[in-house]
Amino acid sequence: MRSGWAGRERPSEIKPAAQQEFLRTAAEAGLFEIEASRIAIARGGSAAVRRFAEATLRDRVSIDTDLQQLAESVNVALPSQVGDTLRARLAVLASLTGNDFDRAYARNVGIIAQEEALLAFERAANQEGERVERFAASQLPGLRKHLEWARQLAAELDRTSMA
Amino acid sequence: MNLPVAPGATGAARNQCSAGTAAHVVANPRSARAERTLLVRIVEQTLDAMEPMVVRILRDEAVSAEHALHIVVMDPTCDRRVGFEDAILLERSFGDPAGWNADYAWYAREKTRVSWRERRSLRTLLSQCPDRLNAGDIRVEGAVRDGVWIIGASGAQPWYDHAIASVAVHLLEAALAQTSAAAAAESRAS
Repeated sequence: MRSGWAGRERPSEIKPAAQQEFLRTAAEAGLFEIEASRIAIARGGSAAVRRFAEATLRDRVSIDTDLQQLAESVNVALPSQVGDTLRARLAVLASLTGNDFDRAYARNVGIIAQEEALLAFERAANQEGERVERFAASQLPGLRKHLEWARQLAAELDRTSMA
Repeated sequence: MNLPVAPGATGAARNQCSAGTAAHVVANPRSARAERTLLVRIVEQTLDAMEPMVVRILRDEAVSAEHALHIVVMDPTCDRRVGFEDAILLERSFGDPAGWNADYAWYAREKTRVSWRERRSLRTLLSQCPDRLNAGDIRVEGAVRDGVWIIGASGAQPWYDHAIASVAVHLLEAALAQTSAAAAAESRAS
């Protein structure tokens, strides 16, 4: 039996709908950030954006791996692709180039997606005693640090474009 | 199609169309992000390309008694948390809105509103899941959802509203894919 939040739940423990929703939302957000960051690594105009994208990809793949294990342990099926809205955002992002791309990536993936992820993880972490909540709480410091980095990156890109 | 003027309709005033031109465009005045600018450009180009076909179809009074059509295009990057009005990307009128007896902009928005809420085409809702409709919901087809796009139309017979919205949806799906492919090619070349 695995230990920690990835250990197998007892069969009698039925996951509340809110936890299932959190796992699926977090998984879809992860897929979005991973795909967007892959595009940014290939297409980012500035080295700072590519560095941020590489870190985002590395962190998100790590979170996604843990999330998959956790979901499996509590018998929740996760989405294998993003929904229509995020698919549209990826398509639009992939249609931008140069500074437009950098700023859109920093804002939409770095800040907005991170803020939404942080909010979802904070909500999930506010309930104590369950594996899902412990998992969410364990990710909060990394998410907050990454969001701060994204805000600095976006501000720097805005300053550069205005110069 | 002759529809009564909707009581209390505000659409005609809001779309700020002036008389005498073939097509009028009103883009949602939200902040001009590069992503939104790109989407508006793609939609405008697509509707420009469709215009000769639409105008030709609207010439037939049996299809549209007032030679009218109003189209509402939703922003595909907005999710349900965004209010309907804020998620409208762009609207366009074909014909002369000032001469219309019915407020087709209002009808097009009401169709689109239901389709946006349910994330389904009105044809699908009406035929397969009418239980999803609320009291007060418009019950005429002419709003289409396919892939990431939701588009509503009003002014012609409902089956033509549906057909024209469908054409727009499929062309926009292709245009977005094309733009993305072109950007990828440009990135590889640079």
